[in-house]
Amino acid sequence: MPPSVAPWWRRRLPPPLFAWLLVVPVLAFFAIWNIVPLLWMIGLSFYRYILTFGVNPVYVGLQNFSQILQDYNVWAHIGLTVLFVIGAVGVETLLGVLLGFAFWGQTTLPGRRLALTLLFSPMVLAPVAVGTFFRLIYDPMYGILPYYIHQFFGVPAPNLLGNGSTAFLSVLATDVWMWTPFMILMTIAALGAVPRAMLEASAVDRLSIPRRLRYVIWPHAKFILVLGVLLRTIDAFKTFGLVSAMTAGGPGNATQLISLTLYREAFDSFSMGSASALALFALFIAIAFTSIYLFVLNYQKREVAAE
Amino acid sequence: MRPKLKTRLQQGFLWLVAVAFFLPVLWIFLAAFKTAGQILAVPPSWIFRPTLQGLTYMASHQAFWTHALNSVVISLSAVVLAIIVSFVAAYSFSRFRLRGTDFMMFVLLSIRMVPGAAVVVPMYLMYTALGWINTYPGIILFYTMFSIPFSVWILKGFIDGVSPRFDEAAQSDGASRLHVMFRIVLPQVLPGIVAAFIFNTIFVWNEFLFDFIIGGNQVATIPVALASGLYTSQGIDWQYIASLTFVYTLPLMVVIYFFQKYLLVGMTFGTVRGEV
Amino acid sequence: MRKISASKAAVAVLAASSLLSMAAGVAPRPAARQQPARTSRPIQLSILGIGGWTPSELALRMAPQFEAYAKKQWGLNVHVTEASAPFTALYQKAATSLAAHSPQYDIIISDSQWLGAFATPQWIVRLNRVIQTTPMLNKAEHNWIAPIIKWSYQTYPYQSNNLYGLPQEGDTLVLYVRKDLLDNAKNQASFKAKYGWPLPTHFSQWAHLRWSKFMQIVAFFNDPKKGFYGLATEYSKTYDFMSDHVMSMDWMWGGQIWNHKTHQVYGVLNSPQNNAALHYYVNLLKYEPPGANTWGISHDINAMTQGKVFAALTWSAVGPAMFTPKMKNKLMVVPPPGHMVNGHFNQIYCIGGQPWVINRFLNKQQMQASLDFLKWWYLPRTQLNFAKLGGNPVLKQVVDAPGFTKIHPWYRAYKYMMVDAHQRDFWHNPDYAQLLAEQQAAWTALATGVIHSAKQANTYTACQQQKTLYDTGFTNKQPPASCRNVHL
Repeated sequence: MPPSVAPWWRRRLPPPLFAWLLVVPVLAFFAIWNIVPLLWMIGLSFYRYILTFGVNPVYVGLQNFSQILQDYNVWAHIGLTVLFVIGAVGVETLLGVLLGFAFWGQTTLPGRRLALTLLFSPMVLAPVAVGTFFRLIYDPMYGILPYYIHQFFGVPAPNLLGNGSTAFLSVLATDVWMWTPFMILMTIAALGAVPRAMLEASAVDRLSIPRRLRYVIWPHAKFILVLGVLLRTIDAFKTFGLVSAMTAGGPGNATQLISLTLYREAFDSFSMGSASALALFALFIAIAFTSIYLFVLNYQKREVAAE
Repeated sequence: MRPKLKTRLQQGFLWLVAVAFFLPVLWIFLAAFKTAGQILAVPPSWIFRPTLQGLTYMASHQAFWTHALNSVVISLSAVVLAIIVSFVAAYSFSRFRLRGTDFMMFVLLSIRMVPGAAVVVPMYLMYTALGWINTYPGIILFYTMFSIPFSVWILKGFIDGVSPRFDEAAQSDGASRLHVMFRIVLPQVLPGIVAAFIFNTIFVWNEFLFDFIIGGNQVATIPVALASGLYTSQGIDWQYIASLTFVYTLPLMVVIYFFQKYLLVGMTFGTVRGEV
Repeated sequence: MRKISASKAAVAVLAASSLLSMAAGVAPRPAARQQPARTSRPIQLSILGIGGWTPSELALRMAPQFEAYAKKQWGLNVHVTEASAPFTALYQKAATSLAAHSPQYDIIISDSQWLGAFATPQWIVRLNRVIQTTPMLNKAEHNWIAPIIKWSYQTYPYQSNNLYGLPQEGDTLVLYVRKDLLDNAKNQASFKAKYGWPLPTHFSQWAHLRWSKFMQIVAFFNDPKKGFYGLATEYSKTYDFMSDHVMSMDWMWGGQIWNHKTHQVYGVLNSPQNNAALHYYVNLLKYEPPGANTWGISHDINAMTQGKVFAALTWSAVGPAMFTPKMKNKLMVVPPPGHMVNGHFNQIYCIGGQPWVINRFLNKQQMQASLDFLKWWYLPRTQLNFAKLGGNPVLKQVVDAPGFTKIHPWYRAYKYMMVDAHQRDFWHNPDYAQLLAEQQAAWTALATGVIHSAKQANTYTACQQQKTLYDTGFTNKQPPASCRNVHL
């Protein structure tokens, strides 16, 4: 570089420095709001630290973890959470993809914009409000759903949230109602990513529908679709406000998702050490869960490359 | 005539689906215009004389305006800040391909995996230690972080779609880097910015747990007010919750109606330029 | 290359530290509130209360009276601000704020069980000296209506002489019954014909009623075909809603919830008496409305005021909500039934009500203002006003004064019940939240058919609670090995 005469602030920074400078704010945020708390959490998970006991943290080694691993309830609640994630995301994806295809195909639907706005409305509601209102909607005495079930099927109004076997499904159904629109949105976006020209060409070539899906649509739509499923999986695993407002994890422990257990450990018991350990454990499971998708994505990539 | 009828049927079905999903929302919205007795009425009343009792009662509370203002100020400033920061970083990731870019992108996504109830513990302890509890910067900066990962992902996709030749052309004309970034590239990724803005606003707007734990009465937003104001001495205050939910959700629905195009394009992560 | 990485590290550190200092600089520090006393700027006194809970709201509504009194009496310029959270969230709100050593709430309306959790880490002020040296408080301290007031709302450890709270309201479970249906001559005749004894219509008859007799009345009025039911109680998993009732039943049936000296739970909570009591309580659902197995306080109020149930077993504090214009002349409030064990009539219920506690992280001025507020609170005049609005006062002068039971229809039952013989409190222990969550899960599981035996529910609870108390060092006895196989 020739010696420059311009004052230092006018001088052009060397590209790598400039590039790093642009990333610094994000890195700073990342460091303060993620690295620090994460390290804090990891550190704390080796301590016994109950705020309501007013004593300093005591190092206990792996005791918090061994207690978690031996706790039947933790496993039961994680199992329930996994069931919830699979059930919710499975149904949402299935419904979302089917309906997404239908809405994508109907670009001339009269009032499409309004229809989609109505369709997307459930996911903009606050989960706390949804939980509270669905408790009313499901209420056997005042609720609208049991009332119509009673009217149309002639069976007594069911007590959906007050029954160990239906409470879980009722919460699941609420989640499906709330988040299927998100999968519809992602499907429409994913299909939008398929180049029109290729679609038209495949129509001209009279390619069969499964083949069109396999060779034209999937390669382009895959990324967005899987990302949608991934985001849903992550968020379903984190479900908290909806369930805590609707059932508080009950009846019994029928809807006790791991996030509720975690919250209880941290902010009912104020046992920060064991809550941190449980949080790490949950994080580990979440990562294991999500890396399945990343594996699928990579596997697909390799498969495509091999062809 | 046959295919026309088939289309009509399909379209009718799609409208039916849209309305079916909207029905519970409608039920909540209608409740905002009912008396408490009408909300609990069996059989349910669909047709009734609307009352503004709930809404005026809500509006007469000073606390409502404080919470509403907090919601607007906190979510807008957090999301705007996040988008500025994310845009700049996404530009760098896209154009300079720094070592570790892929890794950074993955790490950013993985942040989202952490269950909220898990992060809130160390966050709470950290905020306590630093005295950030119940402060505007504390809560706003947290929500900024909350919004960054998704924004970076969307914006990087969009910037990837803008050919670097634009940058080069402008730079050879003597434009500064910042000029290229904000005047040349930014206008072309506007759909991505709008999409990131809408999505993050929805998330932050509705977030409850963190504001409840690391916020306080000074920075309480409407979801917290919703959870705290559930009861009156007469029991659950349905009228109040319904009114609050109505007023709180409507702006988001209006935004979705007017910016729908961007929302759909945004979710393609920049792979599409035109309409979806 | 090395130069660049050094500079980028420097930039990162700089950015991070500037962000930190920026955020920290704006944070209100405890010290920021330190002002010279008796300034013209009003002292802000902030009270955290229970949202949707009448006695709590009444106290806050009376705050302007305190402001006027403080100005007149002490020349103090005080402004009271309020914050509230519902029962379900108040503990989190209060504890997270106190754990942060935040002075944001000066006075907190706590629940009696929380005293241990707040006192152990010294988040709240130990009040012994203050009460001793403040004549107005000292006078109140010696004039509670019953010793149970002191034990429940003031002490940690329970029944010790360490005082951490002062009673805000007293409260007891009472029975709201439909007077109009009891007074109906046709009902009286057919009841007598069916059960062979007359329907009780007077307070004194109800005061000595047994559960077995009461259930005959409930069954008599229960008429699901007409959408009318015998009884509403509480089974919600939220907070302690089901526990208050179940523990009351345990005590009446002759059981204990733990040994409060040794903290032994296993073998105490899962006793045959308690199993029978729990079984009995869950069976009440037969006469309760559909969905009542998840009901909390608010549902009981709704059901009663909408004329859907004959009786509701709930708190005296909800009296103002129960006596709506429509129900005003149809309701009667009586002591809830008791149970005969070994020739002894047990009428023991879980005490309600809440204490005031004072945040320990206040500056002198805030502390003084908080104490001033409490001094004002126990003025007989203030207590009388509180009573007139429908709160539940605890001062002898007010409750024992002639005419007290005439102020509100529920005060006679309140006064009758607020004595040591009829009240008991559960653990004041820093572990309370965990203990509570464990039994709430087990008992609600039974009420909703997730599990089917009261014995299983109580054994599970005893195992879990024993383990919790063992883990935190309150007992040195582990739960027995058989607990490994007890699940919900």
